[in-house]
Amino acid sequence: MERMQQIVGRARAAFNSGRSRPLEFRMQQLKALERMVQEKEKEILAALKADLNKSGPNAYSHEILGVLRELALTMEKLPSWAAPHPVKKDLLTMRDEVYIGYEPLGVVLVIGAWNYPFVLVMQPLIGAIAAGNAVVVKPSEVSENTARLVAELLPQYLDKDLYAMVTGGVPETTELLTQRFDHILYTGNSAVGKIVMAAAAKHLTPVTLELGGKSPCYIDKDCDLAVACRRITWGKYMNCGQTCIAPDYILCDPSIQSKVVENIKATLKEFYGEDVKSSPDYERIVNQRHFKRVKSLLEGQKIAHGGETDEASCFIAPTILTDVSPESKVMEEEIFGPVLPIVSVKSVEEAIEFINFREKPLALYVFSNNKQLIRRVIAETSSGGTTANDVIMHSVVPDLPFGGVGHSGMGAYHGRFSFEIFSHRRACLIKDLRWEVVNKLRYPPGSMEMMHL
Amino acid sequence: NPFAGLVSHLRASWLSGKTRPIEYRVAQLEALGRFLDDKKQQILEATASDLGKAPFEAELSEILLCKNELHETLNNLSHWMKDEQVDRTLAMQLDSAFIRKDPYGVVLIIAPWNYPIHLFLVPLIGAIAAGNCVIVKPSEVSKKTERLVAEALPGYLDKDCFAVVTGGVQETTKLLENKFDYIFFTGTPPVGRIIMTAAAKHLTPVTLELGGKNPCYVSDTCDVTNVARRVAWGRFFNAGQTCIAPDYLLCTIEMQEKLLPALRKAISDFYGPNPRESPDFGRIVSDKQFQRVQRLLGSGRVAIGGQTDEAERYIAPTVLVDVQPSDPVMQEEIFGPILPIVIIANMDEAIDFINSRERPLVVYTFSSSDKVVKQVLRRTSSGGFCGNDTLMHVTLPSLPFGGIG
Repeated sequence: MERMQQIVGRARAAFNSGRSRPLEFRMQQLKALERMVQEKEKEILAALKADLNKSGPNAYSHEILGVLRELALTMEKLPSWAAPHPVKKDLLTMRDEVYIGYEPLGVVLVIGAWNYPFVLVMQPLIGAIAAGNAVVVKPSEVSENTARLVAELLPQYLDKDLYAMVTGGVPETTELLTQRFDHILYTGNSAVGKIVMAAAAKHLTPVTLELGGKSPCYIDKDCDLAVACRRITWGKYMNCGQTCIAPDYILCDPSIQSKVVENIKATLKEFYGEDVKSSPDYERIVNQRHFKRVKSLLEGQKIAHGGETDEASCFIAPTILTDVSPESKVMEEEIFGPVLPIVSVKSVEEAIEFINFREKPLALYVFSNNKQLIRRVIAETSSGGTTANDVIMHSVVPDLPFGGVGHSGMGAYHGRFSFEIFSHRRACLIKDLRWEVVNKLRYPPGSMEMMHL
Repeated sequence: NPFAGLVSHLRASWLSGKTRPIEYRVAQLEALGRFLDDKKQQILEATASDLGKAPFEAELSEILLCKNELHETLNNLSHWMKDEQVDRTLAMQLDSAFIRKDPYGVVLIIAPWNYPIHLFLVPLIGAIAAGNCVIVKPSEVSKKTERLVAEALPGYLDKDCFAVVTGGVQETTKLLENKFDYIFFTGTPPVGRIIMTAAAKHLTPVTLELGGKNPCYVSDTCDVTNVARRVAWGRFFNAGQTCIAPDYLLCTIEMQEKLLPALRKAISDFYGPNPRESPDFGRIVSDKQFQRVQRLLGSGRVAIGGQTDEAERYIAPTVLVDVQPSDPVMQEEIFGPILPIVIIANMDEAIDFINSRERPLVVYTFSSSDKVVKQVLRRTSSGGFCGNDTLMHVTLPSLPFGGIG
């Protein structure tokens, strides 16, 4: 308890000193982060390989590239984001200064996840620093190599008091959550999301919760199946299915189900070769617990492709399930593994109803040549984000907010949205002590002239 | 759960998509406008009965400001609803990337008693404009207004999508067991914690409009007459029961000497020699609140006012001096017509004083020196900031209204 109190207390004292506020300081810290990523690229890639068997090219493109882009964007735009925003005035405030000021919140807590362990602490950290806050970072203990590396590196490059690292598991995180923060950004699952929000409620701390859910993928009969399936295969099986915005399950007409399976099989061969297990580009399940969990989802299912597992190496082959019942276990929880169930629906109406009957997902995918149909699906459903005719890609557009809704989360970040979520928008009205005559009408004794203004 | 049926009925209506078209939302908003017009007299009477609210004040806060919000919303809704196109990367030049604003679903609005129409109506306007279904829970403390809203409002709105729920703590607790898609709460921080804890069980996002002690720093260089009028207006409006009222004053002893006669004159100009007889001065909403505020009169020394009448729940516009930071009047949000003055030596001390306490909903600074105003602004943190006036920053629809911490 005392250790957490000390760390947070130090960060707060450092914040209160005011040194994280000047833009030059924030830029300096962001530049140092950029240097860290560039200089320690090898070490970062090695940690990701050790944690998730991520290959160099995959790790670089999924984690490092995104971070470098975010840093470049933030450093370029920070002066304009941080500038006061003048707003529309009315008759009574014509002569006054009226604007929204962007101010830091104070001490921000970032809790990372294990599936993209580097980018999921770095991207929030970048936004929190840019907004002028002190930050406490708690990476996931499940991806222990990345956690250890980040804990070593951050103090070497950043202001040690303002930006602190805390490592540990559930007991440490629980303790940490008893401290008072000014914003908490948590990436993980809905069950823990509730715990984080309940802890935050004690201090009236606002939260951003990046959670998950089952992201549906509707394939219309009218679409280029080869292209659609190739893109779906890419998004589903990257990181061995352990992606919060992976297409979780497919909804399609039974008449195209076997074609979908054929196309995915062909793409899998193209991506990973005949022997997936020996492909350097195919990752592993992060640990035994998740391996067992995902494996159990296969029980009683019709396996159209894949299904091979190897417990010793936490390997689960890219798997497709057909004629899946909506009531089965694999359709209850977020799969977070390389298992792709296909559920039959006879029409887009049925698909929309199916989707709306369930919790709002983090991502929603629809494949169709028919723009009208796409627009309809988007209009009649709700999700954190949507990509039509592709998967994942809405999360890499720098100007789109990334976040969930309902059980998939609250709040959003990336780019300028990170800056905004970690800032306080302070409404500012600066009047003059002269021109008192203008105020006469508002003062008692009551007058009807004021009412007719 | 007594409200489960209602909530699922509203959710089914939302899922049916009927609240999505702009025509539907505009029709409901225009109906709200008619409610304000048709029921204006009853609103003035109910709030006068509940709070002794001067019709002059109620016209402004409960009617005029609400109509402004309606007009602003109706004028801009189609623009606000448009998809926001965003810049695309080189690789996406052939694609379309945009932000779509979706309704959340079923929204719960919990309103307090001090501006009992305004504080449910303005959030309701926003919730309807965004395409949600809404349950409104007005405060049971402002009883006549609660009854008026429960009886009259549903007649103006689509009953499948909008409902009013009445009751006290027990009913609200039961209501909160249901899953909402958004909760908008205005009230005190302790209840805010309860609301957010309940919301956490369903991962429901919340907006909490709470309160605190809003400091008002008056520097040595200023037009004392104008300062006194603006501060008195903000402090004694609605008999002090305003979340953004200046809660306490910080100034030097020299400024205090100048301010006291100026405040005395402002009060007399506004409310006459005996404010109890002025039709423009309000009353405390309940016996419980009256007793709470009355106890605070024991802090420091009464320099102006101090008279009370329990039967009427009247507390005179009061200024306290010789107040210590540890006095009871400096420990809680006053929410009554009492203005304590705390002496500080200079601006730096005032800033330190403000920063040693919880961040307030608003910081006020009065000075003819723009530098002083800007310094206090820069070195403090608060929901909003108003220089050289009180309350006015919330009358602009272009400024966001909310707190921090």
